[in-house]
Amino acid sequence: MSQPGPREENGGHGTVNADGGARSPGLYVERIAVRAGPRRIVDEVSFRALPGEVTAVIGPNGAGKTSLLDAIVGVRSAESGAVHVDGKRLASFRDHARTFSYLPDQGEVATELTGRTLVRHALASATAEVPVAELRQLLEIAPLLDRGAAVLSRGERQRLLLFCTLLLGRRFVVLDEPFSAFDPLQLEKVQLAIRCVMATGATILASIHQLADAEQIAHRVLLLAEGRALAFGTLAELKAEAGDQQTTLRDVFLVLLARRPRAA
Amino acid sequence: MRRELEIALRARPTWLVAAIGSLLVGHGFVLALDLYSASSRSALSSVLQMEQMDPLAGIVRPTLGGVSLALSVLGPVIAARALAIEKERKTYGALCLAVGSSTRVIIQKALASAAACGLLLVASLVLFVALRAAGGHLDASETALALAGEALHLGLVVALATAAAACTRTFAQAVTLGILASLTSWAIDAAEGFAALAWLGGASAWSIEQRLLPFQHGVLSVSSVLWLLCASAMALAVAAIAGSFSPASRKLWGALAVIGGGVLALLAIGVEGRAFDLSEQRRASLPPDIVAALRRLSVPIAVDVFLDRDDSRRRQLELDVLSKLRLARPDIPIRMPLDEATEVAEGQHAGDDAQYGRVVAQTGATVRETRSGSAREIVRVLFEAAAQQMPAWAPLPYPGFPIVAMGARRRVLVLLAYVGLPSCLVLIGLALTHGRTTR
Repeated sequence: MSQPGPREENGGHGTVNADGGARSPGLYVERIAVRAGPRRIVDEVSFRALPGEVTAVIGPNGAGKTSLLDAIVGVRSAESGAVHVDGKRLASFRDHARTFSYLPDQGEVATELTGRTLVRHALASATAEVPVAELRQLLEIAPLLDRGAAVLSRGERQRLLLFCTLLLGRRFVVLDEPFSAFDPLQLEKVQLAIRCVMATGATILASIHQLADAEQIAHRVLLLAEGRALAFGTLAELKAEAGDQQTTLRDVFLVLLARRPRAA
Repeated sequence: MRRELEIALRARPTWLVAAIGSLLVGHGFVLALDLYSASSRSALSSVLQMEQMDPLAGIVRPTLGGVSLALSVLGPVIAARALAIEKERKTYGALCLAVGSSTRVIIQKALASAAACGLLLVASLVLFVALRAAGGHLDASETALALAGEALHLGLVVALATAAAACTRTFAQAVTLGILASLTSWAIDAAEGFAALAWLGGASAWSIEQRLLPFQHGVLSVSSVLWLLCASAMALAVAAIAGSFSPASRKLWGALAVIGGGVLALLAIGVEGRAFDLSEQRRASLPPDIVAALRRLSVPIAVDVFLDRDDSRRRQLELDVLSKLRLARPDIPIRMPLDEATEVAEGQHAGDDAQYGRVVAQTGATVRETRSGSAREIVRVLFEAAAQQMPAWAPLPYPGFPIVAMGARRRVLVLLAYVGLPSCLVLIGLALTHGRTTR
């Protein structure tokens, strides 16, 4: 796993196949680029996320994690690149909507609604069955149903939003900073809920700021910096790339970031 | 849809704005009622004066003026909110993904906003019912038509505000843009009496208020209905394009194409002249025998009015005889030659001053003219130009409906307008939103 050159980015990272991954099962993101004004904030990033796995997107602030996820789910237009699902390129917003459910970063619950209305709406929009009872128990949703969203704590709101996102039953679940509002006790249950959905064969793609959380839940990690993919692979592969003496994802992160070629 | 309705109707700003709107409407109603009562008192002694007591003009129209003001200034606050707060809360994209289509979300938001904006019409409806209950006379069909005009206005305000919300990122930006769109229409209307805006006079065909005028006179104008519906559809199409997740350039070109097509459609609709008089005793029309005789005239007729756009005589002609003439014979071209003149110096009229003020009827080579503003005289000239005998001028009898609201009757209506309705709206709003702030 050497430092990828521009052409190697597609195929150079771990599990991406020789065909670039476009025909493989799961999600293949092909050379996605996103522009904000004159600046490219995501620069031809490619990677593959497999069914039944959690792929974590990590990187420093301003690395382009949210923009990348927005472009993948289709709520932000990409300058170039493509998103393939099970070998089929997603061509329209409708394709994206059938494929993804999305929990945005810092998304606010509609304060006019009760938890019950939000859950009812999510169930009405669901396209496949999910283990509702298990999720409801893990995320402790019952006490939130009849309360107005305006009076819920940040953690409660995030639990409710996550529950509604998981309820949609899409095969690809994209979560932007899903753990940021939780205490360690809640975090454990939230991670169990995500694993529960993952066990149904769903592909989870999550941007995670806290590296310890990413280390706990992710099967694969994409490291972004300044809009570019610095590394992609399993934790073991990234450790090997960073050097064997690195024992945690945080150490790997720091080493790989320090090695990155700086933009002029 | 239930989610969107709850967001629109369980929001305190919605009910607060509706309460303020009801105060505006109520104030317009009370002023109109007092003025109408005063006129009615003096008219009671004379049959001729009583015939002039028209509740549509005296009470319904001023009250709906308050509705129009509330819709233009306060409507965008309610209408833009439903979509704009999803963007502010960063949930718009996730919502579109869950629902499956951004267009569907935009339509649901617009429908929910229309339901919430409908609260601005409630006050006028309740006040009209109360006036009827208090013994006042309001004709059902002409009042319903006037309210229908405001309902179409509401549809346009909602569509414009939704487009504004789709084009912007925050609630404040959306409301500002929505109100600006309303004020543009007002500026066009103000052009008649305000020299600094005189250059907007030629744009009167684009004024929303001008399109609402027929409804307020008991006339169902096909052109006005189609124009308001088409403008609303155009704004909604722009909202759907701006609210999509296509690249910015594609959205821009798409929106420009829709606006271009919409403007052409609105221009085409503007020439549609058919209209139906739904006023009580058909008083928005010429006398029935005259209408029948005018429709029998087979010679091509044209009418030229040599009056400036800002001349009050011309406005009077437009509201009275010209609109009645259009109702009878929508195919008769009514031209304003002075509008086509350019570079008119202040204090001067294009062409010869001696020619100013004429109303000219032409049938082939025959030309007849008058300087009178009387409907009877102008119609006589028309028949004379066509070399036909004018039938007897016999309008349908309209008895007039004086209303003298005094004492307890007035107090009840005033209390309802200033206290009852606004308080009810505030209380309903509090009741609906109370649960969401209780742990």
